[in-house]
Amino acid sequence: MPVPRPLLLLLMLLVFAASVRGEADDGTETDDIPVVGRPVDLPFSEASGWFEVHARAEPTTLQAETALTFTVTVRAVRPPRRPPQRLDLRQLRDFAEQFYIEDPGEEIRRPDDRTWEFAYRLKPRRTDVTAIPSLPFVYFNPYLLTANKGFQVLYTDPIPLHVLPHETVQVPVQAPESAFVLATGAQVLQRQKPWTPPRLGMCLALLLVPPLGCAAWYLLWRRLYPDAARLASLRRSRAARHALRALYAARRLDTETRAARIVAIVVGYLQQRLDLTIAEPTPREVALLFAQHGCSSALTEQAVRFFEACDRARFVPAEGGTGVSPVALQDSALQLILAVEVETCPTLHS
Amino acid sequence: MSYAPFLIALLLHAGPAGLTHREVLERAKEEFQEGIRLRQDREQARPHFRNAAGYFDQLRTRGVRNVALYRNLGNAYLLADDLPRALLSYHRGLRLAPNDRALRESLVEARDRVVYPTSGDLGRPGSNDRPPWLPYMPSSWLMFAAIPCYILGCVGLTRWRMVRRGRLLVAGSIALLLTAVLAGWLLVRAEEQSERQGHPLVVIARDGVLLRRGNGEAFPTRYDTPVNRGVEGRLRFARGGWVQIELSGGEIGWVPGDSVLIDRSPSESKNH
Repeated sequence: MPVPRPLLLLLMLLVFAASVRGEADDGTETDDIPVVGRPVDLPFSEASGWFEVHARAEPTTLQAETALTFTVTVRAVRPPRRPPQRLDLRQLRDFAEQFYIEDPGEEIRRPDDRTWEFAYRLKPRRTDVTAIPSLPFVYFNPYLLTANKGFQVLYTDPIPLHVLPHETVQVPVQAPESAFVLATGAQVLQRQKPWTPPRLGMCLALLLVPPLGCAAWYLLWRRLYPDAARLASLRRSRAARHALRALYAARRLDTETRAARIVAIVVGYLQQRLDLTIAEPTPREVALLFAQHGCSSALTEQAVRFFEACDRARFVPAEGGTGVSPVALQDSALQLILAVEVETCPTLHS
Repeated sequence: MSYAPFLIALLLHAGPAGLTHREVLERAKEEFQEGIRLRQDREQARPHFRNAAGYFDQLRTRGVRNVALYRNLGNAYLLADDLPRALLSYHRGLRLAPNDRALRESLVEARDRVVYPTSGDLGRPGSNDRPPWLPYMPSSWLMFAAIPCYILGCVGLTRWRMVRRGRLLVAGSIALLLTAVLAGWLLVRAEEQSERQGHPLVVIARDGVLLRRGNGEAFPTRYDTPVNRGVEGRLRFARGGWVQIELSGGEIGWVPGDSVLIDRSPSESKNH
């Protein structure tokens, strides 16, 4: 019996539709996910199928900056065409702002063929984080006939969290004990200034005042003590300086020795000053020497008297009453030397 | 380390400008004592030491300057973990009292905390060969010793001119020789001081500062190794917000002006 032609066409159409349906049920069919219509502000899971999503967290009471495990479970309600991929939570602003997100690098858990579990390690940044926000899961549902509604977004429920303040370990302040000592008292409020070099005017004053003062002192001294000044000038004569020093040193000698020493000193002086050649001159020889050098009669007389006194001091016994005391002799020697210096050095007259 | 919150709090809370010096000092002492009380927990103690340092610094900007204040200031900064300012305070105190043993020890302690590069001596202060027992002669002492020596020398020579005694000549000459030595020493000090004023002390204020060949980020680095906070040097030039510094070992380079603390003269540093 011949089959009517329209019925045959209908049967062929049904067989074709059934074959297409069968391919889709066993998952082997690979439909392309359209690009148009994807949400642009949410990360896409690359999943194609019909899914449901749940999330859980462990623990939900924790300290700030300590980690919790956030697990997202995706279950296919109908056979999936493409499996879901791991979402990057750092692309979600709510998560990134409230949590440090660590990628534990774990494999995706597959409790069964239709379930995927993605684990994340989250650390609440602050104590005011109160919940893990909803996670948007974007997938493509090819089972919906309206193509423009193929991209679906499922939101997990927010998970309340109780974030405690971070427990800190007490670390003492490390410093030497002297650093903990506080200086107190009025000294802390003093105003000290570091040393600064004196200015030019002060430097000049410091430099000039002492020598100028000393010069004034010297001039004043010369005016007040002319004899002392003359004596000081005499000391410039090398012979006189030596003779005066020797006379000063002769004070320590005994009487007899001192007289002889004084005579020797004066003779030595005259040898240097007036070229006396005799070691033990008599008063007469001394008078002759002075006359040869054109000395005044007064000076000659003074020299003669000195040598006569020396002879008496050295050779006449002191008990006789005619002896000369060593002190007087020394004074006479001093006066004689001064007189000779004055007469033989014209500048000393002034 | 930012001091802005602290300074704002200080201004709002105390209004130090309205307080007398003594009141500011009292507040500094209270904060310091509180810091000591909490010293077992540095996170709690440091803000108090920082506040104490702020009050002490307030006194400094008002013109109060002495060794005790700089010692307190340096210690407060050290305990607040502000190493650069601690170093600067110790240096300022030592300028007033070079013989202050506590300040010297504190400076050594602070320098020990500076993290120098493990390789090389970049920024590391040279070793101090001066024996610790040898006192540092203050310049004012040198001055006060030189003046009497000079006067004695002049008087000795004048008196020798009067009486022609050899001892006076020797004594006067020795006194003048000593004067010359002291004056030379003083000249060296004055030169050093002038050098310090011309090239003030600079302390690196933050970690990881690179020395560059010019005054800008575009210039290449002079050394690959960065220097850390607390490294000391001398200021050479300042230009366009950058400063050229010379480190203790003679290394020269440019760094941003906000990465260093500069020990300017008191009049310049009032607002620093």
